Amino acid sequence: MPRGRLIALICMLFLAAGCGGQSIISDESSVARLNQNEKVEIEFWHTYSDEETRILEDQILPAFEKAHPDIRVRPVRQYNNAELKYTLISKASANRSPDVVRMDIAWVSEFAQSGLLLPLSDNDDFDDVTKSLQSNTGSAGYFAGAHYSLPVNMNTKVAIFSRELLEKSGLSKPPAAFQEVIELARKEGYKIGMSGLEAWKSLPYVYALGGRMTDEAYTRATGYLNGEGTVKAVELLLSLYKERLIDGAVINGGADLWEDVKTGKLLVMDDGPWFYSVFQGEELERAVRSTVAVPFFPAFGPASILGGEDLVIPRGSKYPKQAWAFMKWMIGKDAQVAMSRTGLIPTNVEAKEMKARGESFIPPFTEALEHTFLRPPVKEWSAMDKIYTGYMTQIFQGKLSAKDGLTKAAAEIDLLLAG
Amino acid sequence: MKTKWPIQLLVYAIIALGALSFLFPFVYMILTSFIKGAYSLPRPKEVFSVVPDLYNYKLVWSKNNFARYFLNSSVVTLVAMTGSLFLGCLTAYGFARFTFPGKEFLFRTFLLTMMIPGVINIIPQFLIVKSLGLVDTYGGLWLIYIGGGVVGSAFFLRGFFQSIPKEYEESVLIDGGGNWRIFWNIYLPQSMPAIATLAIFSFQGTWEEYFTALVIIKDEAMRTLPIALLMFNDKYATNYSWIFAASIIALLPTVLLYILFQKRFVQSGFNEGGVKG
Repeated sequence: MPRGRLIALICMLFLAAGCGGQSIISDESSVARLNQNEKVEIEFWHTYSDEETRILEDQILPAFEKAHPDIRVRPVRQYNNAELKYTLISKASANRSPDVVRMDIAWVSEFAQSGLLLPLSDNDDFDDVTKSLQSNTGSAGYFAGAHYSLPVNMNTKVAIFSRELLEKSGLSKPPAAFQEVIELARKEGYKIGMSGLEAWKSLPYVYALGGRMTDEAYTRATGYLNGEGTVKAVELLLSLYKERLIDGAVINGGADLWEDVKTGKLLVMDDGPWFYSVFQGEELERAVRSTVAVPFFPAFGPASILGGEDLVIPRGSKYPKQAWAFMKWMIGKDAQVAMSRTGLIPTNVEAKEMKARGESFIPPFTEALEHTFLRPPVKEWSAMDKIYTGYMTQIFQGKLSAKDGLTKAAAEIDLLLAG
Repeated sequence: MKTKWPIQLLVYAIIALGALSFLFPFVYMILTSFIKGAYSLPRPKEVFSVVPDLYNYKLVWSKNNFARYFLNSSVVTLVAMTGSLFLGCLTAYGFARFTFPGKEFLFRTFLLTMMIPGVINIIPQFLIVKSLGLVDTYGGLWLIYIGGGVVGSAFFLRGFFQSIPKEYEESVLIDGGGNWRIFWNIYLPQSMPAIATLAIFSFQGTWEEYFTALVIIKDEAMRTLPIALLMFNDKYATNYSWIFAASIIALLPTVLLYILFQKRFVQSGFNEGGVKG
């Protein structure tokens, strides 16, 4: 082929690319049209597991779309990690968020107080809707007179005892106070399975021994985190660690606490309902048979840490009204009962009671969930947790005394809270 | 002089120990993948007493869209590997055999781009892909993977091409062949060992790539395998036997490729004897 014709052919090819009919509108679905169909599509980001996603997509969403023919829901499953949090923050900051997000309860305050969520209590029926929910679960999303989240499932950690060791000690049920558990562990040389020093892992122990992190309004840590109760609690845990009654894994991780408590190598450990719900059949029976679960010892007030997931509408949602309709559906009895089959504990009281009746391992968790404490619902929570964990690690490594470490941590946390 | 047997024994013992220490984590991983419900890393006693079966493998294949993402990764990787190898070979050929103004400057600029960590490139890359309307398409991914791969391939192959004697080219020219014929019939077959090695690097690099795929692909159905692997890491209770089973399935194509190509890895003396005197 002569060179001239080849060049002409290439030029034609390039020009032909222009006929590709590419739209200059990047998101056509958001552009209003004449005679537009009224159906809108909302995007729902969630971190449900594989089984939970199946129930969401096969049962809950079809039922919702049937009841609301004008709304379609596009579920997008995300992996739960810090990256997701930063993606959501940047999307909400740029007003390009999904319409509904199911997020960890620990993130809600940070999002709400940074102005990244839409207030839900502006909806006229908010009070009626939340009446059906367990009352103590909604506090994480409360800020400056408005509610920003709707709890969709909840969990907490309970004390899980080895049935074998309790029977060996002649006990028919676990001791009622944590002090008695410690006495028993010391007397018999039994181990206590504390799994780590992060707030989620260690605060139930500290609270059960009379410690506190901040005042009730979450404005000050000095006087609480380094108060007499907390210092004594941490010193007691530290002495158990030195006596090797708390395993070294509390700093380094790596212990198989689940298997140890089932086989009678541990007296007690703490965990959520997944300790049982991830198993089926014989393995589940074994877990139930070999352990006794009770709420964390409430001698000094609630010691059960509240966890779970909330539904929120991020700033930048294109269809907040439809998003609200979908959120209401998700906390309705039918959706909650369907989702509870996977092991999640419903926030809808009626569905929760049904779940507690249906599964033998659930009652200690629902009982514990009646009296929970909240990780401080403040914007700076992630930074606070880091400071707390850092100083707790130094205390357990013997680099600082409990009093000094907690005083330093409290001072740093106060600076955060004041900022 | 023959090495004395105690020394030989010692050398072999050290070699065997080295090989074992490399193999041990891998064996541990394979054995853990057979355990049912390892929600924390299992102890050696449990691991070494496990009875191997494919239960977890069947389970993970049907979980978290794993099969779908495996297929997606296969398509993405095969196209990206072929594209970056083909264009890389052409580029290397150009740099090895032609003289043109600014050749060395251009090649060094190519090399410079290799020194910049990939994460730094991600924002400009995303903006380019976005302005081309290729966000959330495999086209966008291929553009980045192939574009990124060409530089490395060209750098690696250029030296290899330069070592091929010019006399081969002359023989083609005498027979009436052109540059394409020289490239296709001389350079490519002569460089097979290098290309096979590159193929593995390129395959592995794309197959395991997570970050760019996460940024460019938004649609859940189009995600690739590294994202599926991450989904096995549950927020509250992670089943390590599933993670390991899924990782081993994800590892299989790379291992297979190694086995297939291992005889073709970079060898010396491949083109010896082609030229007289």
